[in-house]
Amino acid sequence: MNSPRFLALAALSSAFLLSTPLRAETGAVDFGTFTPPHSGGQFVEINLKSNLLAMAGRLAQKDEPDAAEMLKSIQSIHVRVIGLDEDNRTKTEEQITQIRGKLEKEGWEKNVTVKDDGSDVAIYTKLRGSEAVEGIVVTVIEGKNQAVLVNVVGDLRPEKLIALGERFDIEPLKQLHDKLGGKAGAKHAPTASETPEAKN
Amino acid sequence: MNAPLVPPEICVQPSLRKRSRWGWKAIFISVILAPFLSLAVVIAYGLSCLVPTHSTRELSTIAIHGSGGNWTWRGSARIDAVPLMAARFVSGFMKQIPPEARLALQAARSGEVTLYERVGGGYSKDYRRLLTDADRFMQHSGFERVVGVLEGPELVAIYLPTGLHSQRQLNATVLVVNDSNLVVASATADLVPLFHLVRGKIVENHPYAFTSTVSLQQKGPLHSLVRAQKSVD
Repeated sequence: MNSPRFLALAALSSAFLLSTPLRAETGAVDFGTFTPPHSGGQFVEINLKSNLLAMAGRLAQKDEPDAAEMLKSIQSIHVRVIGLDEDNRTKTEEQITQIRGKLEKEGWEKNVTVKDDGSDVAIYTKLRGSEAVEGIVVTVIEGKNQAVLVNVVGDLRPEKLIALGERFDIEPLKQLHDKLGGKAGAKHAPTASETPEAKN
Repeated sequence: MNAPLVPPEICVQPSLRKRSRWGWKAIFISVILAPFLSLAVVIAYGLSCLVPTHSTRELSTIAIHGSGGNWTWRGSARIDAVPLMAARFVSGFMKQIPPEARLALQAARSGEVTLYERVGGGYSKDYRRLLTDADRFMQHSGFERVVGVLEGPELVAIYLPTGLHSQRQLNATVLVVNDSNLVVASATADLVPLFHLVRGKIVENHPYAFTSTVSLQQKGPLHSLVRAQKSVD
């Protein structure tokens, strides 16, 4: 057990393991800690991990196979909704600006930027080659009232995201088709007017 | 002259007779006492259902210390697997039970709730310390916070086990604190019938929820994304 050969093998294995980055959640972003509003506004934190999402996927498998497959490919979902008031507005906006800067430094692509009527929206994606999206971060500063951050991590295929966007009429996800270089080839999901219920 | 020796079997008989007499007495006493003992067991079990479990008590204590002010205990209730199994068994023979109630019975495995009421004022509405302490305690107990909502004077936190894998036995703990009440509830449920129950309710209120586009008319962060994108277009 204490032979030099064994020790050398153990040392090599440790060096290999330590040098190889763990691939658990490369699309995950640490939003940090936000200050809730003192004036009674909303403050929401949601953290859903892979085990719960996989369970939801298994439950939805029979009735919603597409949604189930999407859920199984998601590793985690983190949501922060922060009500803004005079006490926390400046600090929260600074934190979001820092998060956006950090994302750009770490190689995230800024796919959607919208500034309109006091709303400031930015969507970032982290791609794994041309195959899949490892992570999506959505940051929204909605006027002076609310800030929202969403981070979805997983093996997100662009065509599935776009299909999800078309199915639930989420424009920014539908626009991802163009932003990601038209790699979708997505199956067109039925819109409201095309469903059997609408036709009847 | 020596007395004749008494055969050994004659010496044994009186003690055997004594033992059998006591045996019958014991059986008779047991038969008389059985109903009272059963009643005592049922009463003890019923009273134990009014006492919160250790983890619920600990979480309540942490929430009380973290929220400040004075609280008075208003009551606890607990229902275990056995009465729920009995209820499920009995409900199988009752046709008039609504399907939602039947699904809920199928889903529930055990439940517990403890209620406190706030007394007086002079308390802080900053629940961050409460949340931090509760998170630390629940992490130590093998739970992690999945949802935390703070709105006005109300805090709601939902905890699930860290290593959650089984959809047949999901254990959740909910902590609710507001100006007047503090509630700690814990339940174990089978997710499959619960999922169907919730899905049925969603479809009842939103018929197109799972089959077509979802209306985004209500205000919310997604609404602002949609609105902002449309204005750019």
